[in-house]
Amino acid sequence: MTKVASSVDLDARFAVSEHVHCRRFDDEVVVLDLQSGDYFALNETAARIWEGLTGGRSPREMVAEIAGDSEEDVERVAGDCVAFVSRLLDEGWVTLR
Amino acid sequence: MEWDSVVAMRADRDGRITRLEPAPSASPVIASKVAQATARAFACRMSGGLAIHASAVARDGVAIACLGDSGAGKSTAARELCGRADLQLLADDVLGVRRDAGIWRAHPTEQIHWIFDGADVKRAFPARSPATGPARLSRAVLLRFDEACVSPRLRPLRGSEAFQGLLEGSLRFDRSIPACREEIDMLADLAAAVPFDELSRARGTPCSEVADRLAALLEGRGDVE
Repeated sequence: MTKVASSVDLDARFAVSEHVHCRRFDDEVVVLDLQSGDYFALNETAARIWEGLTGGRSPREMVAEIAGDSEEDVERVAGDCVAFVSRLLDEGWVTLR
Repeated sequence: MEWDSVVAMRADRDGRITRLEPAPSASPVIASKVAQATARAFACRMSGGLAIHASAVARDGVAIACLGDSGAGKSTAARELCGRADLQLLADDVLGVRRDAGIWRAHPTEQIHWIFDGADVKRAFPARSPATGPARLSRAVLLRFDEACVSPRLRPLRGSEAFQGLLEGSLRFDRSIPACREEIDMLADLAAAVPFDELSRARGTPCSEVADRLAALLEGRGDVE
C-alpha cells in the first residue's frame, strides 16, 4: 500500500460540484467555478486525474495508472495526486460521493 | 431591463429591441453608448448569442473582431480600419455574436467610434460607414502592448488559450449556473470555430501598422509568426 501522509482517502470517489463546469481543449482541461468566476487550466497530467476522478475512479487507481505509464516513483505520483485532490476539495470543485 | 438612471430597454424573446428609452437625467454620452452597444449586445445574448467586449469591422460580409483590455486599442484600430475603403463599423466596444446555421456572425451594435480626445474623455465620432447587417466572423484578434516588440507581432492562440481570451472578454448579464454553462459552451465552440490571434506591439506604434496587419488578416492573408 502506498504510504502518503494526507487527509485524502485514496479509495474515495468524487463527483463534480454543481457550480463547476469544465471543457477539454486538446491536452488541457479548463475548469471553471461558475459562482466565483475563477477558472484554471489543467495540464495534461492534472487533466487526466481530473477526468479519471470525475469519471468515477479513485485516486489510488489514478496513481497506479499514471505511475505505470510514466515509470515515475509511485510515492511521488501519489503525493502529487493527493495534493491535487486536496486542492479540488478545498476549492469545492468536487464532492465526495 | 433597465440600466438605473441611464436607459430602459425592452426586447422580445428573439432579441429584437422593441423599446429603448434614455432616462431624462442620464448623461447623453453614457446613455447613447449604453443604448447603442450594451443594449444591443444584451439583446443578442437574449436571443441565444454572446456579448463580447470587442470592436469589429466588416468588408463584403466578412468581419474581424478586436479584443483586449480597456486602453488596448480596440476602438482606435476600428476607427483606423473604417477610414479605409469598403470597411464598415460593426462595434466600437461591445459586440454581439451568434451562431446562425452553423456560422458565427458578428451583429452590428454601434454606429459611433468612441475615441479618447487626448485627455480622459472619450469623444464620439459617427462612423463613416456603419454596417447594416451581420457579417461572418472570420477572425478574432487580442490586442496588447509589449514594449519588446520592434514591429507588430502576431501569435496564434489556440485551444485553451483562445478560450481563455474569449472568456476574459465576454460580458455576462445572467449569472445563473445554467446561463453560465450555456455561455461557456458557446465560447468554447467559438474558440474552436474562429481563428484567434494575439497582436502585440510597443506603445507608440503607428495605428496604420496595426490596421495593416488587421486588414491583411481580414483579407485572409494570415501571416502569423
